[in-house]
Amino acid sequence: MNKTIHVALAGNPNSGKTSIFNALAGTNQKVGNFSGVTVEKVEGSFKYKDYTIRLIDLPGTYSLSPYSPEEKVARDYIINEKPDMVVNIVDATNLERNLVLTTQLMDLEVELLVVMNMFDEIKKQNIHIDLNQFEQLFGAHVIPASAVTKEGIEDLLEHIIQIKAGEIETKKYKHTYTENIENDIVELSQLIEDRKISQNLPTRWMAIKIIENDKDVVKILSSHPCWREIEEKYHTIKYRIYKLHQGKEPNVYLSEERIAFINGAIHETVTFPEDEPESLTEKIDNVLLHRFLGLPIFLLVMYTIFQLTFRLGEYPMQWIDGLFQALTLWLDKIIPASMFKSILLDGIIAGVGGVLVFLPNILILFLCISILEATGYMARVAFVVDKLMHRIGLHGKSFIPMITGFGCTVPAIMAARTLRNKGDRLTTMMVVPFFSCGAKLPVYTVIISAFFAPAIAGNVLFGIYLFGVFIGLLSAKLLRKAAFKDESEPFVMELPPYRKPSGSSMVKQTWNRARMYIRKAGTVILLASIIIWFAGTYPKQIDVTKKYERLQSVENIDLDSLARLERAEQLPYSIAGRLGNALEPLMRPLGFDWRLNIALINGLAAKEIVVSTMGTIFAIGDTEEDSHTLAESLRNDPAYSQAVGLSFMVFVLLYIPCIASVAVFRSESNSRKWTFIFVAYTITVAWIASFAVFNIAKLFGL
Amino acid sequence: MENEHTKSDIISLSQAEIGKRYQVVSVKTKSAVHQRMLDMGLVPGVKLWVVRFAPLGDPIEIRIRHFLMSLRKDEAEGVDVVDLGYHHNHHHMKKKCDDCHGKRGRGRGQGRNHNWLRHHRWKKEDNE
Repeated sequence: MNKTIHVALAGNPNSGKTSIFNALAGTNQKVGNFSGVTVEKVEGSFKYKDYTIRLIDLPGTYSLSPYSPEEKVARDYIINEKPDMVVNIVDATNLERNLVLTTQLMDLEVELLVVMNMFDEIKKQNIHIDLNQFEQLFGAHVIPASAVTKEGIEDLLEHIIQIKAGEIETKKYKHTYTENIENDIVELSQLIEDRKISQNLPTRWMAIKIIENDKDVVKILSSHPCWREIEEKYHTIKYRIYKLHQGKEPNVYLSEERIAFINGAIHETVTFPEDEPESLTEKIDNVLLHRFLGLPIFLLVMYTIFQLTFRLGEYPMQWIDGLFQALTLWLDKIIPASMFKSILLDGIIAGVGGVLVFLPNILILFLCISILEATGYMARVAFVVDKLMHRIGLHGKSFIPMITGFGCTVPAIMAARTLRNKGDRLTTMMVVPFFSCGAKLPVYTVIISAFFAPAIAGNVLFGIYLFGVFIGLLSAKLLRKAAFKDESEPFVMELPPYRKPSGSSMVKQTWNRARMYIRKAGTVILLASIIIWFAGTYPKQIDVTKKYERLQSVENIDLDSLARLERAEQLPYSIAGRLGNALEPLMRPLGFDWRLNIALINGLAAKEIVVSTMGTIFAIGDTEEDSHTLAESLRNDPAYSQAVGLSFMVFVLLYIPCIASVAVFRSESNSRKWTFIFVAYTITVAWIASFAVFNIAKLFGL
Repeated sequence: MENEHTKSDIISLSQAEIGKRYQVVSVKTKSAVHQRMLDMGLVPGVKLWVVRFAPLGDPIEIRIRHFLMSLRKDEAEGVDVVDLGYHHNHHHMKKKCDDCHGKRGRGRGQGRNHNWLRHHRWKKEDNE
C-alpha cells in the first residue's frame, strides 16, 4: 500500500513554519512560484511508513483576508487544491495573534492539525497550556512541537497518517461565533446548499464571507438568480449588527468576535506564571532601536553585510575566475584552432564563468538576509528606515536590495524577495539597476582618466553614483504613481521577538535560492552569451581573413598582436559591428559613434565587457593592464570629448545592467510583461538622460 | 464601553505619547490597512502601550498585550484612542506597585526599573 497524502502548512510569519517544514521534508525540496504571482512556493515530498507525503509550504500570513497576494494565494490554494489536511503552525509563545489564522482555517472546514511550535520555550517560561481543553475548543488535534529540538515531529507525522487512514477521529467543533451569528451562518449555508451554488467551495465559509461582504465570494454568487435573496439576508444581518453594536461594519464585528473567542479560549486553557522574567527582546530593542544609536547601528549592520558580500565574496570569486581562466588556457593548448574552439572558449566557458562568478555574492548575501530574517532584525530594518523609504513610495525593506545594487544587480533583484507586496517588490526590482553596480566601475575609470583631470576625477565619479541614486529614487516615485497606485503594503506589522536562528534551516534556504539562480539564469545566460559571441565574430570579411592568413606566413611576426589587429579589422563587418553602424543615427544625438555603440551592445552580456570591447576596437592588447593606453587613444580621438565621455558614462550607468539581471528579473517577477518594461524602461531612461547630459555639457563647452 | 469617554478625551493614535497607555475606541482606516489591523488584534476595546517612535520619528512601535507591533503615523491616524495615563514605571509617575512591594530589595515595584507593564499584564489589565 502506498498512498499519497497532500498536506499544506499554514501559519503566521515568524511562527517557525519554515523550520518545521525543513524538519519534515529535509532536503527533498523544490522551490518555485505559485502560478501567476510572485509568491514563493516551496514543495517537499518524502516517504513516511507506507505513505508518500506531499508537503506544500503556504506563504506566511496573519490571516486569510484577500488583501495581500500571500493571503490570497494561501486561501485559494486551500479552497481550490483541497489538500487532504492543513497543518497550522502556531507560535505557542504568541497565541493571541497566531490563533486568528486558526479561526479562519476553522471557517474553511478543512481537516485541521494545529502544531504548537516553540513549546520548549513555553516550558522554559513556565507557561502551562491545557492541550485537551484546547483541542475541545478548536476542534482540532493539537501537537506540541519544537523545530529546534525536533520534538513533536514524529508525533505530527503519526497524526497525519492516522488521520488519513481514519484511525483517529477528527474533531469538528466549529462554534467560533456568538449564537446570533452562528444562526445566520447556518441559515445562509442552508440557502447555498439548497440552491446548489457552492461550486464546490466550503458552504460555511461562503456564508461567513457573505456576512463579511467579501469581494471574491460576492463576485462568484452575484451572477446567480438567487443573489437577491442572499443580498436581502445580508442587509438584514448588517442592519442588526449596526444597531446592536454601535454602528460596526459586519466584517469588523466578526473580527472582534473571533478575537473574543480566542481571548476566551486562552483564558480557559493557558495559565501564566506568577512572575514573568523580563523579556530579552525588550532589552535588545532598547539598544538596537535607540533614538540616537538606532540609526548608526543599522548603518553598521548594512555596511557589514555589504562588505561581507562583496569583499569576502571577492576571494571565492577570484578562485572561480582563476579556475575558468586556467580551464581556458588548458583547452586553448589542447584544442586546435577551429570554430568549435572559439565557440567553446569565448562563448560557452566565458558565459558559464560569467554566471558562476556571482555565486559567492549571492550565497553570502542570502545567508546574511536569512540571518536578519531568522533573528527578527529584518522587521527592525524596515522600522528604522521606513520614514525615508515611504517618502519615495517604498517599504522600509526595500533598503537592502537598493544598497546591494551598488555591489551587483543580480543578487539585489533577488533580495527584493523579502518584500511581500507586489507593487513594492516590482518597483524595487525596477530601480535597483540605477544603483551603480561594481562591474560598471572599470568603465568609469577608463572614461574619467581619458577626459578628466586627476584633481576632479573623484568628484566626477561620485557625481555619477549620485546621479544614479537620484534617477533610482525618482523612478521609484514615478512608478508608484503610474503603475502601483494603491498597492502599497500596509506597514502594520509585527516586530517579532528576537530568536536564535537555526543554522541548518538557513543554509538550506540559502542553497535553495542559489540553486534556483544557477538553474534558471544559467540556461538563459549561456544561450545569450553564445548569441553575443556569435554577433561579435560573424560574418567575417573574406578579404581581411585572407590578408591576415598571408601575413601569418611572414617570419618573426608576433602572432598575438596579429590576431588582435585582425579582430579589430573584422569587428565592423560582424553583426555587432553592422548593428553599431546601423544605430548611429539613433545614438548620434548622444555623441556616440559606431565604436561606442559596439561596446554598448557587447556590454549587454556584462558591463565588464564594455572596456575589453573598446580595447578590441582600438586594437589594444590585454585591456586591464593597458587601460592607460586605451584612455590615451580615447583622449586623442577627435570624435570624442568630455561631453561624450559624460554621456557615455551616464548611458552605461542607466541602461540594462546585463543579461543575467534580465534573466533573474524574468524568473523573479514571473512576468514577461514586466521584464519587457524593465528592459524598455532602462534603455529609454538611459537615452533621455544621456541626451540631456550631452547637450548640457556641450552648452558649457565641454 | 465607548460611551464612558467624552469626545474631548479621544485623540488619534498618531498624537499619542511614548510611555503612555491607551485604549482603542474605534478604527477607521482604508480597507486593506483596516483588515490587517483587525487581523493583528488592533480592535476597539483593546489596550495598548506606545513603546517608542522609530529613530526618524515614524513609524510608531506599540505593544498590544504581549506582542510588539509597528505602524506608520498615517495609518495610526484613523485609530481613535483614550488616554489611560502613564506606566507606573514612567518617570512622571512615582506611584508604588503594591503587588511587588517588598518582594525583592527596595527597588522592586517602586523604582523606574520596575517594568509595570510586563509584571501586570496578565494580572489585572486583561482580566478586567
